[in-house]
Amino acid sequence: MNKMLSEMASLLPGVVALVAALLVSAVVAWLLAAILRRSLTRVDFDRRVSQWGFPALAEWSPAKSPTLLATRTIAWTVMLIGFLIGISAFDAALTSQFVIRLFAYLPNVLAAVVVLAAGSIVARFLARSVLIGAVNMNLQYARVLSVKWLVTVLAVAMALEHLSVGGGIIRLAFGILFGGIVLALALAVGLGSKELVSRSLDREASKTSSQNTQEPVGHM
Amino acid sequence: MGPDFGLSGKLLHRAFGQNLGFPRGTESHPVACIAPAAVSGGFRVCESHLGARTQPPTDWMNLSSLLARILGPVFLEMERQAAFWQRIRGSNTVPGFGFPEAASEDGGTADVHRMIESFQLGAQNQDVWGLILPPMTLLELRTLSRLPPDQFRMPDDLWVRIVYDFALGHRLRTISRDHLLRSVTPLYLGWMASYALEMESAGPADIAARTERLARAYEAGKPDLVSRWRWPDRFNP
Repeated sequence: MNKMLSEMASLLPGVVALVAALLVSAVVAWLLAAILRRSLTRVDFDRRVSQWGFPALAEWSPAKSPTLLATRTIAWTVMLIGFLIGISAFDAALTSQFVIRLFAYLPNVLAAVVVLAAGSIVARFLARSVLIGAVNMNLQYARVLSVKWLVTVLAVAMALEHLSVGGGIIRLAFGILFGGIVLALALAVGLGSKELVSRSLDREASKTSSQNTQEPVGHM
Repeated sequence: MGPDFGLSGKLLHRAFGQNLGFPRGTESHPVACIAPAAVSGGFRVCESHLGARTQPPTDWMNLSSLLARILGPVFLEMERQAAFWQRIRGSNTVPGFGFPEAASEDGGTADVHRMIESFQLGAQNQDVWGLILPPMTLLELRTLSRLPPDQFRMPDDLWVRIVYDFALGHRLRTISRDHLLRSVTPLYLGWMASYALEMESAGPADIAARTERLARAYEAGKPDLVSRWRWPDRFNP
């Protein structure tokens, strides 16, 4: 009984430190969230997120507001950091190792988030470029050229690699999926447009030879 | 704005001296800068009829690049000279020299079907247009794309709204400017097909009257453009 009481007593300073850390982190989180909410509202962050090519973020956000999502993320992140600092005050080897490993994993999480964001932006840009180019070249299958999903799959695979999730299974699945998509596109374009290319070339050849050089329409 | 022009040394200096203000890497079509520089600089402008011209065959592969190279400097000039053109009310007739010649009967025919096909394909893939044009305009374009060729006519006010919306989108950088300029191509081809079908058997007087009507449409749409230019958040959908 005495031993149990003395063990509990030895934990009391750690508990006090944990509670103090949580209280301080709660105050800091509230302040940061308030400042961030004001700043993001001032720059009309919700509208700009859609313009930057992340309309899905608004769908996932609470109350369809990316501003609210960002402020809550920051607030809970600060609370989590406070909790981890408080945990480390117990001075237990296991919790210290857990905290060290968690902080060592954070850069991987940040890198994965950056890779996903960059991949999303690049995918949207490339998809738009390919769509505009294909429409301007009068390609009827402009929509089939799914560049966006290729780049997105690549970005997700890279992010999972950073997070060390799945390991070899992810690599294998990505290889099969990516290779399958590329092979399917190549077959679709090659086999499906064989006759189209042939007809198009015949049409261009006959047009060039019989076209009247006096064309009434001049494009500047 | 034809490809043949004459200009004074003073205008030359002004037109190409202003190009130094373009951002680095901006491709500028030299002809596109002359008319805005002349008008905004208070130079005298006239037009001369030099006889029937032989047009080269349309380069369909590079049409979007050509449009981007011409529209880009025009929109940039709109941005630069906003304070000037927003003050202007109405228009004056430009003095003309020479007489317009009727087009020869053996002038060939424009490939309007290909133009309409390009427009219809663009209307089916409206992802990019939806970022620049308001819903009402998109609906009108979709309705237009379903019309048969003999009824295919793009109203002047619709074309004017499209041009002004793209100018606004260029200024606000709604999307990448290069994407914006290249996505105009199907719309331009649709307007060109409508114009070609309407003026298929028109004489010089009818063509001049038609051009005047289009110019009036641009003037009529200008107040709305000025409002949306000055207060983009308030007026743009």
